[in-house]
Amino acid sequence: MPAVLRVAGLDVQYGGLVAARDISLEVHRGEIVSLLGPNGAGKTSVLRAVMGLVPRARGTVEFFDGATVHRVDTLATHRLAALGIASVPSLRIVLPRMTVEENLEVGGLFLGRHGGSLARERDRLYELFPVLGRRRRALAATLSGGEQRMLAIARALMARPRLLLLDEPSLGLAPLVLTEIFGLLQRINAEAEVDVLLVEQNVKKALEISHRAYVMRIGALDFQGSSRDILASGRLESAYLG
Amino acid sequence: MSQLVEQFINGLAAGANYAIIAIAYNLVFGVLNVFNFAHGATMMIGTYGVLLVVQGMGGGFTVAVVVGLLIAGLTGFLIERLVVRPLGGNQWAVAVSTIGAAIFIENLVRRLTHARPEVFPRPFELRYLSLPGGADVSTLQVMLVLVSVGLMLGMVAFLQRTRLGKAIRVIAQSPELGRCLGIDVARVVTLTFVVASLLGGAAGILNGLAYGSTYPYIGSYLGLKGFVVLIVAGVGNMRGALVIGLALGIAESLAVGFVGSTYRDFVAYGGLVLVLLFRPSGLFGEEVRVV
Repeated sequence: MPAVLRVAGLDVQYGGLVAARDISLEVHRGEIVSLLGPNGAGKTSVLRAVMGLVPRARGTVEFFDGATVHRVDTLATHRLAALGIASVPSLRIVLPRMTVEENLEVGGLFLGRHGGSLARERDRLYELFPVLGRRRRALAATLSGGEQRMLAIARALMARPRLLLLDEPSLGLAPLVLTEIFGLLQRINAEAEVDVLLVEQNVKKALEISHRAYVMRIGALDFQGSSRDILASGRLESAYLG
Repeated sequence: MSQLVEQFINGLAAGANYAIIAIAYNLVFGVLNVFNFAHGATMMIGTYGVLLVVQGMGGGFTVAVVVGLLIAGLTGFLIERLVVRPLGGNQWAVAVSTIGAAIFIENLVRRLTHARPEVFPRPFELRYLSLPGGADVSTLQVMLVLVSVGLMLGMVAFLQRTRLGKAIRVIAQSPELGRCLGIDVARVVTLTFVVASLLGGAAGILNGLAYGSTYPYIGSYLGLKGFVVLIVAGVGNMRGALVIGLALGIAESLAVGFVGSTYRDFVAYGGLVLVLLFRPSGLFGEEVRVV
């Protein structure tokens, strides 16, 4: 069976500035995969290039939806959602002037889904994220950081994706909230069969929940492996400390 | 007392119209962070669409309104494609190019017509209704109030309930999230210009009905009034636009009725100066926004 996501030989460039070079990585069925590395290593650039939010200078991105392999590097960002790729950027993750309920609705609204099916999906997500259910009429701007992160993830799940792309889901979260959210990600991965590619600064937490990880350093892949092997090898220290 | 009621009703219709114009500015500003200064020209061209059908072709008023709105919508589409999109969202460039488009459209209409005010057709013979208290209102006035307020509320419902309205609101908050959620942002931007121009066309036609005339520069005049409402209410603030639009229309109307017709614009621009002096970010600042 093909990989759910296969990035091959990807270069990301802003004008003349190379942010990442020759990146190849895969996410397989059932996996949570982390893309790690120190600040400025280019991991967010890689994720944003996969989403199509920054231009891909070279290389291919393929997505397998269970039946067909799609060349998504030729597609505009808005086409990805309909194929089954949901994404959450790192900043400005919720729509502040919409209610929790509206935020969730727009997660599926533009994928050709209608009222009844959206409402059912939303109720299901309120069970998974009870705090959102309690605050369904509140404006997203009034939620705490952790609640906003949950809302962003729940909104991405409204699309019933096969693949979830997360850019720094730990950003700005207190340790307890982070543990809760990462626990939920594991549940979503196992129960809802959503594969996850996440970019993280918090290496320890990311390795705790992911099956495999890729580590970047100054715009290139440094090494990869299963989370257990990476933790045991001690190579992370060298990647981060030079 | 009866004059107060009459002026109030006039003001309500005019004010709802100002609110509609300000909402249209807000729609475009929301999705693209630019002002479409050719919006006034769109309003004007809607009224000439009506004249074209009624005077030029002897058509009925309903058909004329439909044609006027279609021409306004098409104008908005062309402005977005020809004058806005090529500039890639550069605020200042778009401000200049849309002002240029407005001058072009106005002068085109001026060349093609008499360049004089034209009598604007009426959909029906006026009848007067006597309200308790002695005020007389015409059936036209009643219609104007109902249609203007209806349009205003309809627009709010459009943004709150329809898929396109929600897409517009999403993009106004984060174009990037919009793309992640599957919205074809470029398409929605074009549609936003069309919707705003349809609104503008309707506002122009309502104004033509209210004053019984139209002329090539009516759009600049109305567009500027709508812009004042936008600035006083705070850019991006839909609810503020509704409140300030209505308040301005009513205040102007009362000033005309009780002080003198030369004071109409004094109210709008005097109020603007005061707001800019004391609350430069608008009366409602940034806090209450619908879009």
